[in-house]
Amino acid sequence: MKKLIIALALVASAQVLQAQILRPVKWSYAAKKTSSTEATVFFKATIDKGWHIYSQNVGDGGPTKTVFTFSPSQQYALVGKTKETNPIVKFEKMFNMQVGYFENQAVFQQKIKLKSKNQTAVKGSIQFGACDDNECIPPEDVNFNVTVK
Amino acid sequence: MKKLLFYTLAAFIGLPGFAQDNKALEFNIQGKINGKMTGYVYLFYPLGENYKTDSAAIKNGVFVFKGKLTEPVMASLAASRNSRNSDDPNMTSFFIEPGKMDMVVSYGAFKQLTLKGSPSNDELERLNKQKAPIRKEMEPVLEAYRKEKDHEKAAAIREQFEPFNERMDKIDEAFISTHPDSYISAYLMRFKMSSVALDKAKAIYNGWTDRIKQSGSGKDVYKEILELESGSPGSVARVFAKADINGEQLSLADFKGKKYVLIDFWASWCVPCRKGNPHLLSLYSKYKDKGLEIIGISDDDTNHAAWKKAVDQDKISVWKHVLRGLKRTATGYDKSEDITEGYGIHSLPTKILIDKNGIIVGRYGGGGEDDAAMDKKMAEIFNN
Repeated sequence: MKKLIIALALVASAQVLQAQILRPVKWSYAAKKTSSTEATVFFKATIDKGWHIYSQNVGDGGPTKTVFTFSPSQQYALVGKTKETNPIVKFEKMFNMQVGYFENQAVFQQKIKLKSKNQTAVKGSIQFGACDDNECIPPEDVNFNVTVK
Repeated sequence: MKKLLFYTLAAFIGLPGFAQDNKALEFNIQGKINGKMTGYVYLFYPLGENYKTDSAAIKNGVFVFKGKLTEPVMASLAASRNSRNSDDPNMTSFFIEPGKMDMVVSYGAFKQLTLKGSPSNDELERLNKQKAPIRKEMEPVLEAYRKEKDHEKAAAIREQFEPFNERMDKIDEAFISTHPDSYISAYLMRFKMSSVALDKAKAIYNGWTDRIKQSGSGKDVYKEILELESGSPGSVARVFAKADINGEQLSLADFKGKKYVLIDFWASWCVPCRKGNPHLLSLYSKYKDKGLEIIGISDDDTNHAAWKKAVDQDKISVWKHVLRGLKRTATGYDKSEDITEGYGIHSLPTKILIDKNGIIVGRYGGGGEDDAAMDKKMAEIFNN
């Protein structure tokens, strides 16, 4: 049976930052080894009702797209781009472009090629901004550190 | 055999923590799990700056967790299960405390966990019980919302949540005001800081006992009150100086003794901000000759072109524009020149009105009043 590693970002942090007093989005992480040399890392955003975050594929000058940054590592290599679940797509006149966004939840996944037989740490950060109908939270970075065993 | 391991989220980028002056005391959870004789259960709880993840082997349906805590904290328990879903039936949250606790949980229904020996958790359960009928009443609406695929219709359903949420908020508020010595009050209050009026937040905080003020959540609330206060009516507006959109030097001090200044925290990518620009433009046209200046402070430090384009497109180049001044660094952000510091800005748009003496006289959005209150205030100031 495939090994599954789950990392949880707990919602109930007592050490929430000042800048995150309003926290409509919670991230959780998981990694799944698909073969002896490959694995997929999952990132799930749980989004409060009424709020949304944006797709990775928003054009320049549009709303705050979600950006994944992986720290360079000798232990693994990225395979392709970070995939995302299908966003809701709407034409936004203000930006004169199609804008993809997510409500309730979004799952992103990144395939990696493992270069080491040992436990591999996949580190990096997610930058995202969230909006509801009345306000937006400026983009913030959340660091992740997911271990593939 | 399936192996399952849990990891906590790496440290968030953060502010320096408070010095730990509270002594760590031992806790001990004697657990029983129904429907599972072997395997592991996992406990997650905050410990200082980080999260502690602990595992315990189940032996004949019994498990034990031991550790140290400085105060009651929200913890979670989960079982080994191939799910990445936080709605996992084998995961639940509760308050744990220093001391001895007894826990009983059923495999497949962690949410029905019972915990003895944690007075804070007893309080949390009583609070949840009060809210349960409202949750039940709300369930059909939630269900309809989950099923609705059409975005516009879903948005309409969402609006029906509001009265339920308001009723639940009232219960929370009543709990907070009647429990000044509860860690739950401080915990709840932290999440309400973005929506509670400053005076009310101060009154609640001042009513707390010392141990609640000194708790992690209590300290967070205090910091937030200070920050919000510095950007609320009655405080001296923090002076900033920056090169503006045309490259000319601009300082808030330039307007002292001359004009009322509305500082508008916004961004090109912020749809609700952009939608508010026509209204700001109408206020500006009305009052600019009567002594109003607007300074737009945009969160567009990473994309100047988008900022300039939005200013043009929304025809707001008639007033002053500067960037917020947030710098990205390799490890996070440099906030040394960030104008939003000292104004308690957590969301956009937030508008702050400053009088000719440099004193804040109004805050709209971002924990302040609404736009109607802003219109009224300006009418009072400029039509007299």
